[in-house]
Amino acid sequence: MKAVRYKSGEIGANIVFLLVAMFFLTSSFFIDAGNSQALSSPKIVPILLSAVMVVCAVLSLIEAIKTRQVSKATENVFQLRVLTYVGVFFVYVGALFLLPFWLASAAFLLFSFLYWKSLPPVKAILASAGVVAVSMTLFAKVFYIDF
Amino acid sequence: MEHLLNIALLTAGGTLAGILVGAIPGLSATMAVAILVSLTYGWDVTSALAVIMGIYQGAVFGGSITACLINIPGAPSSVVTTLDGYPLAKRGEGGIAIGWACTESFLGGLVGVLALWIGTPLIARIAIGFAPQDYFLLAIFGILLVGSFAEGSFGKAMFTASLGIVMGLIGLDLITGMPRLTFGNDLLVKGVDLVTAILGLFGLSEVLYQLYQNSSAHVIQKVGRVLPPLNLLARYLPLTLRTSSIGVLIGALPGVGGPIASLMAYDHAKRTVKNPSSPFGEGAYEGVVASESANNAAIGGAIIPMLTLGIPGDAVTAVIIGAFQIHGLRPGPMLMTETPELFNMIVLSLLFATLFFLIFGMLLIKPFIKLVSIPQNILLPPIIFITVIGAYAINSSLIDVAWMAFFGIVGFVFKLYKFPIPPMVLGLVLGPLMDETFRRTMISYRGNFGDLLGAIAVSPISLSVVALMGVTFYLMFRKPGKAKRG
Repeated sequence: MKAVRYKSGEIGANIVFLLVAMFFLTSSFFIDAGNSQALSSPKIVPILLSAVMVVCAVLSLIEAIKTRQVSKATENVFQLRVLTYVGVFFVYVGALFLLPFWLASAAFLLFSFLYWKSLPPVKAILASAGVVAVSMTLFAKVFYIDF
Repeated sequence: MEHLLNIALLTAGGTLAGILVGAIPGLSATMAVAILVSLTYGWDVTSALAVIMGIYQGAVFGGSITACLINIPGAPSSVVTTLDGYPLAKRGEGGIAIGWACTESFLGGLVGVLALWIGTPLIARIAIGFAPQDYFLLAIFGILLVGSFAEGSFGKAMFTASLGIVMGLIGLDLITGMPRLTFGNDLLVKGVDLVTAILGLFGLSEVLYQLYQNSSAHVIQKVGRVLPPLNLLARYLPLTLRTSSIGVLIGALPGVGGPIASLMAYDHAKRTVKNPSSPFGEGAYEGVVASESANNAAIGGAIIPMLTLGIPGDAVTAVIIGAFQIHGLRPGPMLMTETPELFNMIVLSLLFATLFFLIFGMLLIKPFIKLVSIPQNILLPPIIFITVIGAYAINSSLIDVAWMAFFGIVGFVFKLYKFPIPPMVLGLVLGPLMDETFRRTMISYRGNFGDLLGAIAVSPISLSVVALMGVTFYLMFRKPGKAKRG
C-alpha cells in the first residue's frame, strides 16, 4: 500500500490564523469599557471584527481541509533556501541593535549576494560596500536621516 | 516661480524613479511611496507630496513596459495590458505597444487630473455635511468592495480586513483615552504605525515572495519604433475618453484602484469596439488603449475620496494618508478649506508628472529596458536594505525596523497561502475611522440602533451612500460568478 502524504502547510497556517483570531477575540473581551454602554463601548468593534475573523478563519480552514492535496514526499530544496534566508534576515534585524548600521547592512548584503550566487566574492564585497556607502550617504544628506 | 521650479524638479525625479519602480517586477508604487513617505519626514509636506505624486503616476505607467515586453506586469494595474501588449511585442511591435501605453497613460492621466481638479471641491462641499454614520457606511463599503475584488476567496479577504481593523485599534482609544489591546506593553500604546506596516506588508513581503518564486531570466522582446501613428491616436480618442472616465469612477471607489479600473475598461472596449485592429487578446491596439488610459485616470479618481473623506481610493493613497499624518495633517473636507494651496499643489504635481512620464517614456525606453534586465537576485537584496532604511527613517528607531520585519513575514505568509493583503492595509487605515464614527453615532443616538436606522432612512446623504453600495454591488455581481481581476 502506498504511503500518502497530504500538503499540511496550508492546514497548519489556517489553524494558526484561527488561533490568532481567537486570541484577539478573547483579548477584546478584556478591554476596559469604563462606564460606556454596550454599542458605544471601546470593546464593541474589536469584539465584532474578531468574531468575523474567527468565522472567516474557520471557513478557510474547512476549505483547506477539503482541498488538501496529495504531495510527493520530497523536499523543495529551493523553498528551504528561501525560508533560511528569511531567518538570516531576522538575524540581520537583530544585529542592527548590536552593531553599527553600516556594518550589519554590509554583512547582510554580502551574505545575500553570496547566498544567491548573484556575484563572485570580490564583486560581492565591492557591491555590498558600494551600496551601503552610497545609500547611507545619500539618505543622510538628502533625507536628513541620522544613522 | 522658484517654488514652481522646485516642485517641477522634484516631480520629475519622482516620475523617473516611479517609472523604474513600476517597470521592475517585484517592486510596486505602494512600496516606493511607503519608503518615500518615511524618508521625506524631514521635508516640508509640499516637497514630499510632489515626489510622491511623481512616483505614483510614473509607476503606474512603468508597469506597462515589462507587461508588454516580457508578459510580466511591473505593477498590478498593468496586468490587463499584458493581454494585448505582449502579443504586440511578440510580432515585432514592442516599441509601438509601449508607445501606445505611454500616450494613452498620458491622456488618461490628464483626464484624471481634470476630474480631480473639478471633482474634489464639489465632493468636499458635500462631505462637510456628512454625519459620522455616513463615514462609517463608506468605510464598510470600502472594506466589502476591496474584499470582493481581492485575490483569493472573499472569506480570506474578510479575515485580513478584520485583522487590519483590529490591529488598527491597538493603542489608546480616541474617545476614552484608555489603552486597548496593548497587553500592558509600552511599545503597543502608540499603536501600529501605518507606514511601517505597509513597508512590511507591501515591501518586504513582496521581495521575499519574488525570491521564493525563483523567477528565471526574462526574455525581452525587441523594441523598434515607439511613437504610435497619429491618425490612430485621433481615431481612438473617443474610446480613450470613455475608458478614462471609467478609470476615474472606479478609482474613486474606496479601496479599488487601477487594477479593477483597467479590467473594467478593457471589458468595455471588448464589448463596444466592433472592428479592432486585431482580435482582443492577440495584439489589439484598443486593448492597450483601454487598460492604460483607465489605470492612470484612476489615480486622479483615487485621490478624490482620500482628500475629501480621508478614505483611500487604493493602497497608494492609503500610504499617502500616512504621509499626511506624519506631517500633522488630517485628510477630509476641512483640509480643502484650511489648506487649499496643498490641493492646488497636488493637482499641479500630478499634471507635471503626467507630462514628464510622456517625455521620459518616449525618450528613455531603451535605458529602462537595460535596468529591467538586471537579474532579481542582484536587485532584490539592496531593495531589502532600502526598505530597512525606510522603516528606520520614520522615527530613527530600530523598533520600527523590527515591526516592519514582523509585518513583512506576516505578508509573506499571507502571500504563500493566498490571503490578500490590500484588505488588511485598508483595514489598518479605516479601522480607527470605523470605530470612532460608529461609537460617536451610537453615543449621539444613546445606543438605540432603531433610532440610527431611522436617521439613515431620512438622511439624503446616508441613503445615497447605501444606494451607492447597493448599485455598485449589483453591477459587480449581476453576471454569473464573482468579478475577478484579470
